[in-house]
Amino acid sequence: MPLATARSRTLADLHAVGDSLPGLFYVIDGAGRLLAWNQAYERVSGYSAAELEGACVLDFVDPADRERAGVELQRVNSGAYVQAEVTFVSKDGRRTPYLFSGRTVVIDGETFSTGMGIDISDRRQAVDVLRLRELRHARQRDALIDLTRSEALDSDDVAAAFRRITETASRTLGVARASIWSYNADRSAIVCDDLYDRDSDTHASGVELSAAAFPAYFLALDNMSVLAADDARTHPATREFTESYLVPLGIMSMLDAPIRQGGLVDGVICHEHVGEEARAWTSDESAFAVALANLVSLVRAGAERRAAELRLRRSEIRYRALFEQSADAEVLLDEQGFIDCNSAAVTLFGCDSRDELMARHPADLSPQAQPDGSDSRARALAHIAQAVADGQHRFEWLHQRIDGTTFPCDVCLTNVTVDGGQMVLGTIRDLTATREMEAQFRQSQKLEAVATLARGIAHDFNNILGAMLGCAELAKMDAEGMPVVQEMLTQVLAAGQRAAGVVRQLETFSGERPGEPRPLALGPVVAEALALLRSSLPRSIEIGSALDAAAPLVNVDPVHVHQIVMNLGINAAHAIRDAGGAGRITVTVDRTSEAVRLAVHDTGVGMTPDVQARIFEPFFTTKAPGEGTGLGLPTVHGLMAAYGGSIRVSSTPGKGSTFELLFPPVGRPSDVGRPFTGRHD
Amino acid sequence: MARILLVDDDDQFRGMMETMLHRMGHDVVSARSVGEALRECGQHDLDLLITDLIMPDRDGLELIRDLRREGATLPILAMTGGGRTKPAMYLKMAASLGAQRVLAKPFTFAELTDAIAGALQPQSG
Repeated sequence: MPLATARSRTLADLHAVGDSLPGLFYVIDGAGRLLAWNQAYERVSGYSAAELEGACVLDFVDPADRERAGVELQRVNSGAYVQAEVTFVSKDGRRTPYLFSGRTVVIDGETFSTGMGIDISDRRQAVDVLRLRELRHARQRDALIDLTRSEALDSDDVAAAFRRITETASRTLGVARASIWSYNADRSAIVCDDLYDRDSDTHASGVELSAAAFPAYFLALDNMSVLAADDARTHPATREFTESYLVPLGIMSMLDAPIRQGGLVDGVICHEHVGEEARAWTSDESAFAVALANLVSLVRAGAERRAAELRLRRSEIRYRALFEQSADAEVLLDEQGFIDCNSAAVTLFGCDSRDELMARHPADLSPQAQPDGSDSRARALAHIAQAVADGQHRFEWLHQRIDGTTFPCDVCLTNVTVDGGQMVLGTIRDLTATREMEAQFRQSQKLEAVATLARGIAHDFNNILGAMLGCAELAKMDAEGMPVVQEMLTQVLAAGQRAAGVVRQLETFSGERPGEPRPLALGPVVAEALALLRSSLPRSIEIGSALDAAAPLVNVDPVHVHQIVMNLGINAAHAIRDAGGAGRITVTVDRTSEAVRLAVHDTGVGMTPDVQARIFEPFFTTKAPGEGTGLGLPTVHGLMAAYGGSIRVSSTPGKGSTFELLFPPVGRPSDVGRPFTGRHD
Repeated sequence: MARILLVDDDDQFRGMMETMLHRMGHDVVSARSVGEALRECGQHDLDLLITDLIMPDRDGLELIRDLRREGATLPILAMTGGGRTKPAMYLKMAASLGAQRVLAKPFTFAELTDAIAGALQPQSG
């Protein structure tokens, strides 16, 4: 330090002190001119001692601070201890914040001002960092609040929510790209749900990153709460993206936070910084990224919950539709009785409206006792209790309609929970038709068994009759000239021939002797048969006919048609005779939608249901002994079965009967209906 | 007059048939089963075989088939009283196996006479 004045010794002392100080040290006169300075002053300012000599300290102050610094200098001169932050400008233009403190000292009666300057750029930086962090915090906090308040996050539109999140992330963190990814089903890759690109202000999705291709990154995702790669191109978890991803897109830094769902990593939210230099992610930015990841997780969970609720609602709607549209009667029961039912149930019980069924107990819609004699109410309660205990219980039941008529049904009770309450869903299926079918099936089985028996009998009888008739014939040849013996043998032969006729009928009934069916018009054949019938019936019986000549052809043996018309006609005549002897037989041939129909209607005595149930049984007859074989209707039945047709019978005692024979038309499938059906009017 | 092998398991029917055939003037060899019939075939020079179709053990269809397989050109008249299956079908099968005539039991003396005459006609079959 040059000492140019008389005060130099004292100043030299000061100089010695000044050189030991870490910061700037100087001595100035009242005008601020430098009298002495330490080495640091020369080093920091960049000026030489000669250049500093006599220079004003204010020359080294940033012009912006200079006026304030001058004021502070005056205060120092007036004896105050002053501290001021001032930007010091070096010769090379470098600006450094300094905290100057100044005070006056008296040396040898002369007053000088001394000052010390401390570089506070570090402190400034720290303050700036703090201020910036506060600012960022505020922005992040605001962003999160905005997001959580956003309706987009509460809607079912997950894609919209994700777009909102990525845009917010990009804006808040100041990154070029923000994206949300989720694992695919087998966790072999993550798929981009939404990527926001700030520069183009566009969203994209669908890109896939395979776990196999980027093992380090996926490992990091599973194990880190946040992945802050300042230099993504060298970070061990992200450098594998360098060639394929980071360099092409200009990405320098990545801040990724795994998205967790139920403890498992489900995806990731990525923030990618594009620029010349790497970016140092701060801890608050990492925390913000984690907060966003949590938000994504909430959005997903919310969407899933809403989807589940929607599924439930839809399943309720579907259930309702099933319930209502079921062809079976469906009822919902609680302890009190029916609380809901579908329209099939209303119909089944013969009600006019749903309300008629409500609050009734199943036992109210049952006869007092079930067919086995048990009390309906006690049994119903036991069945319901069993359904509740077992979850499901099925049984047969006799129900009663509102009008008091009963019907057999199959009931299936299922224990269900509706709106948190235990109830029983009952499916009631009317078994009336099933029972009829079963009865018919049993009848068919019985007829088939009889037919098998009949075939065996026919074989034996043909052999026996063959021997008898043959022997009788031979005997008659030998009885030449013995007219009485001859006459008796003639009777034997006639009786034997009758027996052979019965056997032939038995064979026809049992499906033997199929005849020779050929396509023919039923009308003319029936007309021939009616002419024959006419000649064998008393005049008191009127025979009418309506034969549709345009009816389709049917595949039958005309002999069989004769047999059928004769059998039915003679039966009808007997029924009329039993009803008084006068009446009318009407024979019609027409077509139905499926078949050609031959109907024989009489105004005779009709049949009771008991009789009607047995008319097709072989050897069943209501006629006097010797009048009928009991094979007429079984034969008709056997023929119709052989032709693939069916028979319908309707009869009212005292009014008459109608036999409807349905033949399959030629060229149609032979199955035109059930084998036969009985119906009482 | 012909030499006829008559096969039927029903004794009464066979007895009646023997009488009828004798009455017609034929020479009759009787068998009550297919096994017996095959033995008789080897021992006699026959003009006609009359066989029942439905018999216990082996039936008449087998007899016809075996004879035809061995090259026998003997005329055959098949008869059946029906039974387990449809007689018409049985008779059709017999005809297709090589029976010249078929008859459903019971039949009259005249029907049998006609059938034998038909079976013995050289051009029949």
